[in-house]
Amino acid sequence: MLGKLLKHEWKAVWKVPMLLIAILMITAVMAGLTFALPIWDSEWVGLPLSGIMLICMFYFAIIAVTVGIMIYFAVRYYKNMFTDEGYLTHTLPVTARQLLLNKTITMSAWNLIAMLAVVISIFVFFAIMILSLAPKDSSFTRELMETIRAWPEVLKSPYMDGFEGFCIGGLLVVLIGAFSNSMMLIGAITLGQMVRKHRILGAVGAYFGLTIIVQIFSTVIMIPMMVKMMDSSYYDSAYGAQSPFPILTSFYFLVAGVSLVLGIGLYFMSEYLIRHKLELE
Amino acid sequence: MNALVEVINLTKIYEKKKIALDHMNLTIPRGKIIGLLGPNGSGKTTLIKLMNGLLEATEGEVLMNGHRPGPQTKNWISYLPERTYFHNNMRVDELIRFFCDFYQDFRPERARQMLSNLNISENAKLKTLSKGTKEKVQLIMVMSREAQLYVLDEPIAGVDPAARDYILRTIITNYNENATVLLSTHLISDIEKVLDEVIFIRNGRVILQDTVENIRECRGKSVDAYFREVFAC
Amino acid sequence: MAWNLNSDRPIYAQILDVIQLRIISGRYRPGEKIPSVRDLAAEAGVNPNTMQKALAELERNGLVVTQRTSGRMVTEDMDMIQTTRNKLAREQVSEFIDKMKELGFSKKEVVELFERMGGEDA
Repeated sequence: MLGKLLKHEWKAVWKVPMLLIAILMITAVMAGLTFALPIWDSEWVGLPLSGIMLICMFYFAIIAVTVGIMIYFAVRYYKNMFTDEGYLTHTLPVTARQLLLNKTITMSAWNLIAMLAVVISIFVFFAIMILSLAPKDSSFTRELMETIRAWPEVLKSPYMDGFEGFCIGGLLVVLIGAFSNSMMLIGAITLGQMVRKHRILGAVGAYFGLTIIVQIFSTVIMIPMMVKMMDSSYYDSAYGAQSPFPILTSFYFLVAGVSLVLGIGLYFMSEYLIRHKLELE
Repeated sequence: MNALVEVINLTKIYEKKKIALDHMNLTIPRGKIIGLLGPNGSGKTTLIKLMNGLLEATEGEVLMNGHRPGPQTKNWISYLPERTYFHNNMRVDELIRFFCDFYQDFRPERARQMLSNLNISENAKLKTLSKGTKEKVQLIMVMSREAQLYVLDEPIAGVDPAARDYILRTIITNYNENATVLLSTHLISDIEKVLDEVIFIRNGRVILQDTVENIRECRGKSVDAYFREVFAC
Repeated sequence: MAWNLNSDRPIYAQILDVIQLRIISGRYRPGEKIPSVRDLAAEAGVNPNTMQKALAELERNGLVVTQRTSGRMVTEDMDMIQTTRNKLAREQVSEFIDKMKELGFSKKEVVELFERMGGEDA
């Protein structure tokens, strides 16, 4: 049954986020292509400012698309589960766990796809920018190639110790973040249902409440880490020959762990509320 | 065999202490078409939602074939809510596939037959249909299942007389002898000929459960007339 | 002979009357198969169990017979149909006379009135 739920969910949702991602890609290409315009060869004083504005606009497009996708899924979850559409959702012969897993998996997957799309769009933007600028300055291409060629050497330096672990930690943060961000929305919306008369307000309130709690909690957990970072020996090492990555890696693992615990906690809370406290209007 | 539905001491109190069901006890047999009758706010919809697991009881329970509402009971209960509840972006044929996938007792050929009888296109998107047509599509989907229990909440409210006849005929022709149809309404005169039994509820309690023929025989009046007498203001 | 089931009497009794009338008037011929319970119920807009009850009653008084292979049929016993017809006619007449009595007519006056009107019609 979970498979069937996932199949129908996927069929129903792919269009809107794909459209948003397509818009992001087009924005990336267009932003990159502007570097090919002849104005960049002129002596106009506003050039640096225009460049910053362009990058800012691209940045906003990225934010708009990722936030847009999450809002789309949040609204869909709310409508599917707690409005008139809930009459169909909750009379399917499936368990509360299957319903919630379906939503969690789909939302996390699209969250990841959105992040991946952002990475690709940034890559596309810079690639096109480089290709646009290259013909104007031949030394630019040569320097770029040299930097890339030198990269393996850089990795070998003691300063880069633990870089692989750092990458794995980062990846873990991204993967678990996709899940825990989804659970923040799902958990907040589900919790908001307990305010029977003002369900949307309840959901928004619960989201901010949860965010604040998470912030406070993570700050408390981070304190030892901060202290360590402030520690003079670490401070020295960061500007010395020693690698900063091991400590950043442990920081990542801590974030990942906290996110995982948070996501799982919110999942079970939501499942409990749907199973035992459902009350459709 | 035990009763199809048993309502035991069922109580539902909403927020602000609004009592919708007040220690209700009720037994619903198999193979009958039963009217759940009562004025607005008497608790009809609350009872139906509890049977379908859309609410949690404050006290007591409702058992269907001995089970509380859950995935098994949803397998053989076909429920028509009193509102339009399908996803507006779906096409009618997508809806048929959706029902096929989730309900093993769904008979797509039956649904297609009824849709073509009513000249409803399978390619139509639900949001392009009028409210009345949407309600017909909903009834068709619900009646195209071979369920043990059909729960129809106000199926004839707000439709024109021709559609009302079609709906009643659909119910008569599609239900089988082992299935029970429970339908709630406050428009009794139109449906009493279709019913075996009626249940009168008021203020969250059952005040009468009897067969239509018995009421007519013993009271010498139609159920509609009797209802007006019982619930006279 | 349409399904006019609007009185406050039990519905099965009203259905019974309609089917009886259909048989007597020849709409359902002797030996002809009667539509299924479900079809009749849908046509009349009544509960199938009620229709079933009415047909069972007709079976009991012999107007309808059930054959294992071909379902329910109208009896081929013409006497039986004739008897029912006479019985219903007597019921109608006595009901009519009762009403006339309420209007203050004696039985004799009723017969006279009847004959006079019969003559006018002819």
